[in-house]
Amino acid sequence: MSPRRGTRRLRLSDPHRRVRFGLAVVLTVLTIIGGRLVQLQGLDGMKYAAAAEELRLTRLDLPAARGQILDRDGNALAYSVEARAIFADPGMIVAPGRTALALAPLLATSADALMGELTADGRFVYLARGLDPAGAQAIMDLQLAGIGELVEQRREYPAEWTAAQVVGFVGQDDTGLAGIEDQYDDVLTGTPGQLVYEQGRFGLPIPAATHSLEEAVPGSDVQLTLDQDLQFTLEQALAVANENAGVSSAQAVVLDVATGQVLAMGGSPGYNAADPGGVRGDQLANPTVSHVIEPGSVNKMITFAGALEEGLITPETELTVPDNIAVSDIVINDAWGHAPIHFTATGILGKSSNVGTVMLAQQLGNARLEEYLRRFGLGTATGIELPAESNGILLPHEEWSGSQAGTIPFGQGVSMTVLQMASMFQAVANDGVLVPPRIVDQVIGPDGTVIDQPGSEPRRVLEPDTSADLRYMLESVTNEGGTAPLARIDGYRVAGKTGTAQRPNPECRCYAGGGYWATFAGFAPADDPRYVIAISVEQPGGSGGGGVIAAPVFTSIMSFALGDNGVAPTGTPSPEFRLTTDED
Amino acid sequence: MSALPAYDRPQRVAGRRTEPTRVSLQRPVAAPAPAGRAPFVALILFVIGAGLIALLVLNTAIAADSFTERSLSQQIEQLRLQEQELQQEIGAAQAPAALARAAVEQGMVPAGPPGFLIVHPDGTTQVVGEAKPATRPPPPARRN
Repeated sequence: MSPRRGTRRLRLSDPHRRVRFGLAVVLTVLTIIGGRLVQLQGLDGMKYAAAAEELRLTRLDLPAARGQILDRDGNALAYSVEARAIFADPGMIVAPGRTALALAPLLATSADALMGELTADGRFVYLARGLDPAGAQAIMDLQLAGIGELVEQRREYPAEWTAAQVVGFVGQDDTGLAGIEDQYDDVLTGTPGQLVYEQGRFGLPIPAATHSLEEAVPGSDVQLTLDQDLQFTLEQALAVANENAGVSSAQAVVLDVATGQVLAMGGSPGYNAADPGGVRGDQLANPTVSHVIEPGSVNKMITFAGALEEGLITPETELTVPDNIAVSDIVINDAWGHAPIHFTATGILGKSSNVGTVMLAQQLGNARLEEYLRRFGLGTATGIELPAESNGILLPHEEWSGSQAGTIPFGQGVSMTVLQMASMFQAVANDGVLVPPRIVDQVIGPDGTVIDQPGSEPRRVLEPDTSADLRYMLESVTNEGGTAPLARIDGYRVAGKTGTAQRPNPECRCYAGGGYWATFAGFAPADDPRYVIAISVEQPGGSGGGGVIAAPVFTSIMSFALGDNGVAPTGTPSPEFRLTTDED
Repeated sequence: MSALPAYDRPQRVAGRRTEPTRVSLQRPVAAPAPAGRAPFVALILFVIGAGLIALLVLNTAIAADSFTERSLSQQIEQLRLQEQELQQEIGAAQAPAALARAAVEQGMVPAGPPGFLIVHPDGTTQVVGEAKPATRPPPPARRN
């Protein structure tokens, strides 16, 4: 021990060594400190400065309002309001039981249900969404630990059921899920903005510090061609039809003759856009564009259009029509048994004789019949601005079976949407010019600028003379001896066509027991058409024809459309119609 | 502050006035300040003080304004939400179904077919259509 001690004492007592040792220590420490200084200030300096600023900076997301959906008069069918979401951070909740009891009455839920959410794993759980700001404020005033609020948007559908199938609805994340909300989601959705500012101790912005505001750009508004009041009337009329025994659903479309614009469309049963969860999923579609029906005798209009346009008949052409005719492997009957009748062409349409129609179709030939069916838009979607539009079903004539060649002329073996049905009558009403239906009138940007919408391309499907003859013949349907006296409207002249189509039975894939579609399509006033309406009433268990079931629906919608829009009767009397030559 | 040391160091000024060979070996004696310098110093001090006070007042004013701004924008926010609530009420009351319900509650029935009075350019008038008083009972109210 002692020699070592002595050595150490000796070494330490050497002043030169001591100084040098001290210097080395000091220099080492200084080098470390200096190096660290360079590292902090020079190399990482920017990072720490940014982190410090970040502590003061507050970023506030500014949600962009979703655009409105308006009817043609500017009534809002869908708009967004500011709302609040209440969330919980279960990790910060001290007394879940007391918190649940305090929140339950304000959130209109049970404390038990809340307990489950408040004690869940994780750091974030929504307790309520879409609350009114006042209601959320009442909750925030309780100052419960671990409970917070978020600003969000809530979609309002003030008209509820009215036009719900057209307007659609949005999901909880505010993206469109159906109808226009879906189709025009990109247009309706805005661009969120951001407010960035430095915050002082009490959450106040520090004046003259970093502050940048990126304004949210609201989404554009979509203005539809729908008329809210007419739409409501249409839905009421369908609801009334739906109360008939055996009726499962009904659809109707109203078009403006000159522009092809959809003024009202819908099917019953509908749904409440404010509560789309309240019905079955398959009822959330828009059946007037996505659901196909066999039109029945309504389709005879096209057979007659072809025969007139090709010069095979005039309205006065006489035909001797028996009550049945054999086509390929089937026999086609008229709806009523009769001895051979000397019908005029007008009489065949007015009385809706299947046999007479088939006789005309045989003169026309399958190829030309298909050409006319396609001219009127069958087998091709109209291109309306709505999701999930069906093309309908029309096979090329080469693939028609022998019996189909016999039934397509009167509307069995061919399928169409109710919108397509309305569109083909629009062409006849509009002097032979078909204007494909459209439902979006304009898109209005957030600054009020109107963004032009590509309109539809009108196309001529019939010569004006032919369509005038056809209008005359269709008017006979609602007159003395026709199939649809119930479609008459006091003071006005009405033209149209009834249909009663067999409905396939989904169980046996045959027509037996499938019930019927009662259809009617027509326009008024017959001599100066303004509105076209097509109607289909589905009756799996009923047997009413178009003239009995669908025509009254037509009348109630059309009389409202004419009266509400101030369309005066033309004041001209209906011409005389000669349906048969037998009595003369 | 940084301006003051210049007046505490009169040696350079003094050095310029006296013989450099003699004075450089001993500490220079501070020459008394010239008569015109005190008011100047006072002026500068006053300017600095006034500047500081003005800055303080300005800062306070800005801070006070930011409080006012905050309370006003809170008020705007509150009024905006109130307006939104009222708009919602109007929207709901304007909906066709709500109007129809309100009309039925007041005993109104849908109108029958209207008559039209057509005034021709030559001044003669013509009645078209037949206006009938409404008799139809109100349709059954659908869905609540």
